[in-house]
Amino acid sequence: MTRYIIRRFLGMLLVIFVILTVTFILAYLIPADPARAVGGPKANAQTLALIRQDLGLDEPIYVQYFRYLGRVLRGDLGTSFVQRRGVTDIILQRLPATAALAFAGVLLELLMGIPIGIISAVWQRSFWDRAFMLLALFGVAAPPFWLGLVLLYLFTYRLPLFPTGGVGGLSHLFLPAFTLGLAGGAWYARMLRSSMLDILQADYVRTARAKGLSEQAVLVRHALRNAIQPIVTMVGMDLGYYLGGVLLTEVVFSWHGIGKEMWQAVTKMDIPVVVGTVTFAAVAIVVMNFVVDLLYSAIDPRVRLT
Amino acid sequence: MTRKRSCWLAVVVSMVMVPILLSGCGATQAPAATQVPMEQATQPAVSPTPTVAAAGPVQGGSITVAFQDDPNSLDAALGYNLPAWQSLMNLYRGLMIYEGDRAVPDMAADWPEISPAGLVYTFKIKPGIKFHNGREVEAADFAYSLNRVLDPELASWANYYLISIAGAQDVIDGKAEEAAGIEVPDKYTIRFTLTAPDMTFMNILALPNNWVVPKEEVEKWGKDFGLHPVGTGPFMFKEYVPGEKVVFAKNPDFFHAGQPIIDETTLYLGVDPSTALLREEKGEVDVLFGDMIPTADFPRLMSDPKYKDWMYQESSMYTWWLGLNNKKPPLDNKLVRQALNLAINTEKVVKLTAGKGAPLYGLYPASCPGFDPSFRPYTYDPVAAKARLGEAGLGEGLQLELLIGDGTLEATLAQSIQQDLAQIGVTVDIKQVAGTVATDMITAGEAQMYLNDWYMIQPDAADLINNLYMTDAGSNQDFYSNPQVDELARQALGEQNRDKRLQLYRDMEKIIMEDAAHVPLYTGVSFYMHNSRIQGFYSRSEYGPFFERMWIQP
Amino acid sequence: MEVGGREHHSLWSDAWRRLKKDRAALAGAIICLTLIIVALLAPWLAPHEPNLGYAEGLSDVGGPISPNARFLLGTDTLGRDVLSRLMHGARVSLLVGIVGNGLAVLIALVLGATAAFVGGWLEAVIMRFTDVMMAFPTLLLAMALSVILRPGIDILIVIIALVYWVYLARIIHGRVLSIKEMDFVMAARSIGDTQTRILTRHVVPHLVSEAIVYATLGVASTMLMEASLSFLGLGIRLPTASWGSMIAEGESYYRSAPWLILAPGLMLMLTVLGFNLMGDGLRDALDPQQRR
Repeated sequence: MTRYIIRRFLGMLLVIFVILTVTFILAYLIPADPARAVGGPKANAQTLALIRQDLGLDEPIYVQYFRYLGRVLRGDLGTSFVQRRGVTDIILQRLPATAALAFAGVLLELLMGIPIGIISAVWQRSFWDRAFMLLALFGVAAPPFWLGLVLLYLFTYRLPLFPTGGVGGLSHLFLPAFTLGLAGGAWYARMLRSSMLDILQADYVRTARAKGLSEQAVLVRHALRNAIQPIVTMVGMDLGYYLGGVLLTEVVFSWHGIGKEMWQAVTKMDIPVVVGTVTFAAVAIVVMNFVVDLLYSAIDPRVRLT
Repeated sequence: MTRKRSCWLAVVVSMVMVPILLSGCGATQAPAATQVPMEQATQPAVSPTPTVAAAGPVQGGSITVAFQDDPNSLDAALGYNLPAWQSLMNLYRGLMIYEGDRAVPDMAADWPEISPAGLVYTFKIKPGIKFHNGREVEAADFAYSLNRVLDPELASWANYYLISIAGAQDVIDGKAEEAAGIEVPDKYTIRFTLTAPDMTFMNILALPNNWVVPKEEVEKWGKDFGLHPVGTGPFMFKEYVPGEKVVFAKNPDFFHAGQPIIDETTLYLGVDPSTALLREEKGEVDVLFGDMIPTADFPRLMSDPKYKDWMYQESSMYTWWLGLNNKKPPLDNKLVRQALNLAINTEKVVKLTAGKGAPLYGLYPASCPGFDPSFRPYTYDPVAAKARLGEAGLGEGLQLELLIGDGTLEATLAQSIQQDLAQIGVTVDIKQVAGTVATDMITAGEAQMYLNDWYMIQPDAADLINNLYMTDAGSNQDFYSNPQVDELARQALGEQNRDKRLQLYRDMEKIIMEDAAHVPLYTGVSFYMHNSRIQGFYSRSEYGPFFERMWIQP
Repeated sequence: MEVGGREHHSLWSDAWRRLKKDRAALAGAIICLTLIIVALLAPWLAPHEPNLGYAEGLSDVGGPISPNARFLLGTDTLGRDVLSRLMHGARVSLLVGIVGNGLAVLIALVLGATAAFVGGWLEAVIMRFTDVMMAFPTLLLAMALSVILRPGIDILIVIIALVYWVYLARIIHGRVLSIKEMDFVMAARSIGDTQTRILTRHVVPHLVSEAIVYATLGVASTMLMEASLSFLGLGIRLPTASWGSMIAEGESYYRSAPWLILAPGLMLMLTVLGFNLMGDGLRDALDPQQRR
């Protein structure tokens, strides 16, 4: 078991290292003069040159690269050109908002997706099954940013139940979390339904029924328990993905988390923030995957052999 | 179609319900002011130190503003974006300030003594004015502040505005620590010596970037002075939470008696326009600057009687134009540029700004001295435009590239221009890049046509001419060059007779428009939306609102 | 193969039979086909010029006007006809989606199958590479590349393909691996069939069917990616309409002119739905081991 963990951990570190390098290269390639972002539209050429010097942009790329690696290992993700403060500070400031949205989103996904999936599987081909699966199809097909806009229109303007955006308490959190919940829940519902159906028709379930087990016990003890596994994986991946900042939803709802921060940095060419947030997002996913893999291997020993 | 019908029915119903519901919410505003019956003070007259009516408006309270971005810096020498500018207005003051159509003494005791040749300016400072940290201001502080702006280590964007002072360029180049032309003969006197007569010099001293800062505070905080700013302005720095808010508290010792009237002003940051508007309508935010009002909602707000007292309009000193790279063929041909001027429908462009713009036919906005309302060098005439193109030897199939940044209005205007030019057979390819990238490309001369703008920071045509139209001027992004204009500009800078001076600027405008350096589009109409409980709202295009003159009616 | 007069029962004819019975897939196919036809015929079907702003298309205050007799779906912020833009936008969105996805599938097939078949260090390198790429949220990667390259339609397609192939490659790699272990392959090997024979006779047909499924299903994802990029302002260049950019332009008008976002959004959703249904149907038809 320990050898497996160590192997996976080292693999994760390798991936993180490559991520850092790739993001650095991407950032270096972005064609923008950060001096302009600092000096503003009226700064003249001489002043821009002075700023460039001050920011250390004249140095050769490999020097910048090693500086960058050194800083990151110390937890310093650079300094924002536009906000004049550390990227790590910015991320830490925005993290609670993103985390709140991530957890709320996953919660709603599960709350909506799992019951629907189970109902659809158990009462297969019934009216409810068809209705729910149709709904789920729409949930999967709708572009996430558009879904958010439609919900904004319906529930903040036509029926002013919610505020139109900004970070705040539950009333501000609900709509963006609900948007995530709808889209993700649809996926979960469909997945759960199909895996449960597969299991319910499997041989060992037939055996269990033949043994005299009640339908309810069959459902809970065999179908649900086994069908849940892929859901667990997906939850882990979702959480990892959301913790990196769900850009589109955060932008539409002005939910000022890491995703919105990243988006503003892209528009303003604030490269340190772009690199820092992308790195953070990627690392979050990798770490979450690692955690999920560990959990999985604890539950299912066969996985350790891969 | 049933779905659509019920959609619209629901829309109608909710449109009736929504205002009813919202108006109920807006009524409960309990201001923190004391219950004193107040008189309506009149708007401040045009005088250096506006007074407030004797019975006095209600003291106390706070005003909140919402911005999308953080101030780029709270350091007087570095601020340039909208929230920063507002912060500088709160925190700092200096020798001069704009009032009416010119700069007038503010911390200076009186108008300066100017030598007959116009080269030496001697100012006396009002004694007894204190910084926010309690220390009295001396002439030496002004010298320090201006030398600081010139300091290459600081890399202030405003440094080149001071180069008419003798020795200033040396400081920028790193050859000197201080400008030779700034002298402090005694505790309350400061003397400037210029390299050539410059009628805009007093305007420069009214620029917030050149306002006074205390040496000991700057040295104490170093690069972080912007996080602990100290000045002589009506408000003191209280708190800055990046991405969230900046809070300013009343300066009880402000050197204009009776100001500020409110206790506190807060700038909310990171709010996007739609959210800001909603909070404004709900009364959670007091003031919105024009850009924070989404274009989509503008017509509705302007026509809503409820908001009649909420909208404050000022003609601004912003101008927008279609820039033309005068060095790149075929735009190096005057006839082609003139054809473009004839082909573009300015009125249509203005219509697309949804009320935020007024047509611009020349170079100067209406509030700029030298503006000639009868000056209309080009009228929309596609037939004449085509003929002009023909004269230049070009006809159908001309292809041009239009570079824009990432604003939505820019995109809309670009497409309108594209359509206009298509009418005369010119194909326009729109290239959109990030805002800062666009600025860089334009400055480097890589763009052919581009949307450009300038906000004047002094009520003086020199701000435009010297920065945009003189050969090799710092922001001459059209790469326009006409030695005749250069000569007139130099003359006008030193011309002490105001009427003669204005005439010179009018002449220059005629020449530049005849040369068709670019295509003027519109001048901004600035709007502020403020909660009606705010009284005495006053704003100037070069600065923004003066919060120290406002009070809150309970 | 005919064996003594029995019916032709190849993979394909079986699949076709199953597909014909699947009503959902049929619905999806009809949707997709209709959209493709509309997209192809847009220049003739559209009632107005998509990029022309009509003076009558703007209200008195310069805003968009709601659906009426002349402009069936209303006009946008520049007075352009929404319906015409929708039709022309279909061309762009479908083009980017289909070609982008096709390219991605191609790359994924080549790399994924090679990795699985050849094995060894090549496989390790390729799979590690996909690991890293998968860590990046696809949208962010596409955004970063768009910012660097500032593309037109052609490069946009390449970017989307480059970002999307990773996900497919892993799946294909896994499938080829499992096909290798399957009984009939082992049987073929035991008979003494050469690698090439195994490849062409057994692996490739399965791969092709997988490829078809992903080529269909993936269009939905690539279309959404293009829409997201255009919505963020990083995709299609002005003034060309794409459904994503139309939603972006109409975003701040969601209160006063909701049709600006409803129309393109619904079209996107419908298209994605259609391709999903068709893809699901193809998968069910082509893979007999899946029971639904």
